[in-house]
Amino acid sequence: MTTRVPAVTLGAVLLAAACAGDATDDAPARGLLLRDGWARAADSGATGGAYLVLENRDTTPVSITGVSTAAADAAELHETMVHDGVAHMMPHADLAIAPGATLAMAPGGMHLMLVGMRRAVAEGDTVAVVLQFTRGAGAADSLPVRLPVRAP
Amino acid sequence: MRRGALLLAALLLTGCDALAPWRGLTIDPPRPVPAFTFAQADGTPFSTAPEPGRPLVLFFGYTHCPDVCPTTLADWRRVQRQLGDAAARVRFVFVSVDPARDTPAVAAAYAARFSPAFTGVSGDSATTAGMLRAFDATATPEPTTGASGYLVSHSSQLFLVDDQGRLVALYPFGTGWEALAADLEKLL
Repeated sequence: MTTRVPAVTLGAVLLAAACAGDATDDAPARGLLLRDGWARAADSGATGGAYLVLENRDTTPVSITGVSTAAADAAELHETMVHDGVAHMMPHADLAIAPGATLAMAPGGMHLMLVGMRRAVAEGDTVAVVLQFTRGAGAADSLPVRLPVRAP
Repeated sequence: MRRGALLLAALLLTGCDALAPWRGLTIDPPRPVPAFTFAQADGTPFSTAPEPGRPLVLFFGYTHCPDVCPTTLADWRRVQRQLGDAAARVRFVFVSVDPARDTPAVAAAYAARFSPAFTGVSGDSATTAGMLRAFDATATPEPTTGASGYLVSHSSQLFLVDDQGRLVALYPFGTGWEALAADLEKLL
């Protein structure tokens, strides 16, 4: 069993990442599909945030086990939870995506927290992040994506 | 039966309209809130004391907040665009609940990142605590194993204060920005 995302799928994933917001009609029938990714404009030294939608079109579960970026001192998977009007953030060590399921990050919910931006990013820039993941019982793998920056 | 249900729904809607002039959660009766003064980085004070014709929109947050705070301030910008020129009369104020990390300069720059018209302030811990109390809001540092050192759990609603210094409505996080824009249009 291979643990690698098939090259054709990876190409499509990267294409989808580069064209955030595109429809998924041309998306591969199988694999891990990334779409609607974006990062929030942020000043140097500030906390940044990024969002993306991951769709597991495979028959094995996928687990996102981490995220890294050269754009910030650290990157973490977080979820905003609001209880009785109070917003909390819950860090996630990993996020499982069942076969056929979609993990949709969005403001007010799941997000990537970018701690200590190493440079300011503004609209028109991109932020490169690498998602670490495993497929089923397979070995660790990674998926590099470039997220377009939108207004803060 | 169905007609009865419709009638009941109509009555309920009418009742809501009569009781709730705001699209946010109405504070009835409006509740006077005390004014607070913050020292700003440029040496000038900033006061939340009422100003005639100028409603106050208030949010408690912190600049290390990656999600709720930027989402809220980005919504303010949408409100601002919706209101057009009248937006200049709205005082949008971001109050840091993390004065240990957010200096007045950091808080001001953070708010200005979204719009030069937004005010960001950070006071001493007594001012912060007093203001949170006045608005029945909370902020609690939460240790984390992550790189940010600590996070702050904080009240996430917006507060709308009229030009008489009375809290008139709340907007829980997740309320569409259109509700605040519509209510501000009524006040302006």
